[in-house]
Amino acid sequence: MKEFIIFLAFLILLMSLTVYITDSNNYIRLQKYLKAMADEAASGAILMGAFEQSGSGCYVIDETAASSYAGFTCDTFTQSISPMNYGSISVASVSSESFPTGAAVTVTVKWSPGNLSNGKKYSLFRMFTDKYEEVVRSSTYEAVIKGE
Amino acid sequence: MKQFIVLIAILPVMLVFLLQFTADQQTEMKITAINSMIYTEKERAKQTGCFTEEQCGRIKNSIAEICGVDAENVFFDGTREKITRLSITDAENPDKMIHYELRVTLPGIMAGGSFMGIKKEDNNYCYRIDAYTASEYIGE
Repeated sequence: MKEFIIFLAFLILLMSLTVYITDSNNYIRLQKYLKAMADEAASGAILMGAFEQSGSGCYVIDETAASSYAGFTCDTFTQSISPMNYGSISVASVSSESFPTGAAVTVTVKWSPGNLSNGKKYSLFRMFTDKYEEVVRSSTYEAVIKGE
Repeated sequence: MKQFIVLIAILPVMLVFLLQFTADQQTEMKITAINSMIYTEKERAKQTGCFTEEQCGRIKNSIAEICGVDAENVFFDGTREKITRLSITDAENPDKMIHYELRVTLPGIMAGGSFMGIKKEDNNYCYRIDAYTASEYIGE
């Protein structure tokens, strides 16, 4: 009986560790995935600009077009991967800034947990009660204008 | 003797868990290496406006090497005609972007698959990337 109890204890411990490591790997992968998406969205969004025809003549970003591109990137990335960790991924914000030598675009994407069949929110780490309400990643691309 | 028999009985079960940790890390490392490679080649394609034949071949061979599979089992395709820099009016037009798609089967996802009755052909995972990127190529 003693051996059986020890075996059960080890089995539960190893199963818990397996679940934890799997969840950790998923969390790391989700972060990398979000970062790649934010990078791609920001690198494309920086192209959505033009030299201002009036005023200072700065390179300005068309935020509507930049948001459209970021949304398109988010949709295509999300479709390419099977449902990511029972949640949804969306573009949280797109902001731009112009300065005399160029412009910068920051894209923020976020993952929000979906609902499980029992009505509760999915938790990235099943072993713990701490819930990750959101996972957010941002990326900034800067265009520097050279020459006259 | 009793303890020894119990040990023999539980050892395979315990070993599966230990091997699974290794298998998980191996799979993660493969995925990280694939992502890193695709990211680099995608950045290259952004500058040149397309994926070249030679580039696609190189990607396939490298990914096959990373995953330990034959190059024929790796599918990679990307836009071959040169796409010029994305304009404001084409922010959601996939025809004006560089498309790339990768499909590769990663073998040995579950450690001790045969021990648990999982067939070799079922014990794999198809990793897929299907995305678009904006070209930065400004022409000749």
